[in-house]
Amino acid sequence: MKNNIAVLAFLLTAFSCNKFEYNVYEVDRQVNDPVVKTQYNIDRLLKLPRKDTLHVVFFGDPQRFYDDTEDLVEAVNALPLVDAVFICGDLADFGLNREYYLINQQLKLLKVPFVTVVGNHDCLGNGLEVYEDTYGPVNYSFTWNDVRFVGLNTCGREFNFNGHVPDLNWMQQQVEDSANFEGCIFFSHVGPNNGDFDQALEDGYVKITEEAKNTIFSINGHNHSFAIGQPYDDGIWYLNTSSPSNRVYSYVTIYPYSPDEKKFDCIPVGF
Amino acid sequence: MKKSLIVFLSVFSLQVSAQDSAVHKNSSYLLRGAELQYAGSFGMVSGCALFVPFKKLEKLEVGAGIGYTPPAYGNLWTANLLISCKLFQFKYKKLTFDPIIPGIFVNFNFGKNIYIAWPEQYPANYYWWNSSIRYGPFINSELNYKISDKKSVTYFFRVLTNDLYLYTYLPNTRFIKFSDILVFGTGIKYYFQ
Repeated sequence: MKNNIAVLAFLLTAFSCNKFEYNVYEVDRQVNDPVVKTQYNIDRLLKLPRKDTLHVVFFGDPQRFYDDTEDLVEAVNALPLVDAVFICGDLADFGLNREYYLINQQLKLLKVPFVTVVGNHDCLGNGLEVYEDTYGPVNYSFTWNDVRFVGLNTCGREFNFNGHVPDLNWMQQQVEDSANFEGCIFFSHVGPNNGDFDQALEDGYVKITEEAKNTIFSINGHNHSFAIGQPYDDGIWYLNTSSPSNRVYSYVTIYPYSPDEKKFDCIPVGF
Repeated sequence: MKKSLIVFLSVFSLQVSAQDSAVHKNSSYLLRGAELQYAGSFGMVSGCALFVPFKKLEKLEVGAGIGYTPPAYGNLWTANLLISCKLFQFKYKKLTFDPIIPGIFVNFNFGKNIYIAWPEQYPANYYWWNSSIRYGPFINSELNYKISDKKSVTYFFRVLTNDLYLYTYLPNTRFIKFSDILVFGTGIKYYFQ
């Protein structure tokens, strides 16, 4: 009898494992990995001791560049000073459950906390649902070391430019309590001056970054290459971080309490 | 999406009807049986009719059918076509074991946000692949038990991958293990002639 139960348990486990794929677009069958969840990593960040200077690595678009991403993770883990890693979208290329599983095997090797935002490729097929199940909400914010970080979904084209992506009302609400932070950083996948951003919402996005208390910068991925500038001539810095496929990540040093107008330095680092 | 599925199934059913009439003319080939599969990327459950299309090539088997994945796992339908060829087998009394039967498949996937043609919100060639059509190789291992002269039942185990998984694997052979892109299916086949 005990043997029968053991065999039955083995068969049930074997046949429900993710090798028995129902469909490439399946949902709710991924390995539930608590260490990749956004909230878990935010909690890790908030436990770090308070400091004057933050060292953060940004990169985006690891989609289907697994060997390059493996090298990037190794390079970041070897950095003497790094507090967190931010991944600006496109973790998957085709929005498939199996792709999220593979990239998570790499992200889990990062020694420091990491958070992600959703990219346009992450939304394909049932990808958005898998993304939310795997990491958490696509719009979220948190205050770390007196900096308000606002991560949001800006992939307007994937929602047929419906006027709700990015959610500007939500974005505005995240920076209204200005007494609770010193400066803010907006991070997303598609930048507001890109054709895949909902053009009807571009002015609204720019206005929020201008009116928020001490916007340090707005950063996105999507273009796969590094760029920095002030495209709107309004004093707000916009950064585009590179894909691992270009063998570059952005090493950003943030000075939340600096009296200077520019509260960060950014270096593109090859690996 | 629903229209595409209906058109596909209509064409498929016409083909089956045509082949059914052929079976009546010569019952020694064409429609031979049916297959029921768990997983294997064609659906939580999929079924197909099994044919031997060429009388002189009994080792060549064609399967055509549909698969379904319930809403809890994505609410997905598939229309599937499989071609396989038996290579060598071992026989013992009423048992026949085919350790390796290579084959190829092509299938259409239907569901929310899956398209045969990308919608107009995307410029031409914005995404290069077809999100509905998947194709790839598979290998079956089969154990057949002969019930009578014509009837038999087979247990099979299927290992397969697809175009997108191979496209992901090939430039990343250092990190991705080949086993990472293999998926499994299993089921039974029933042959009635």
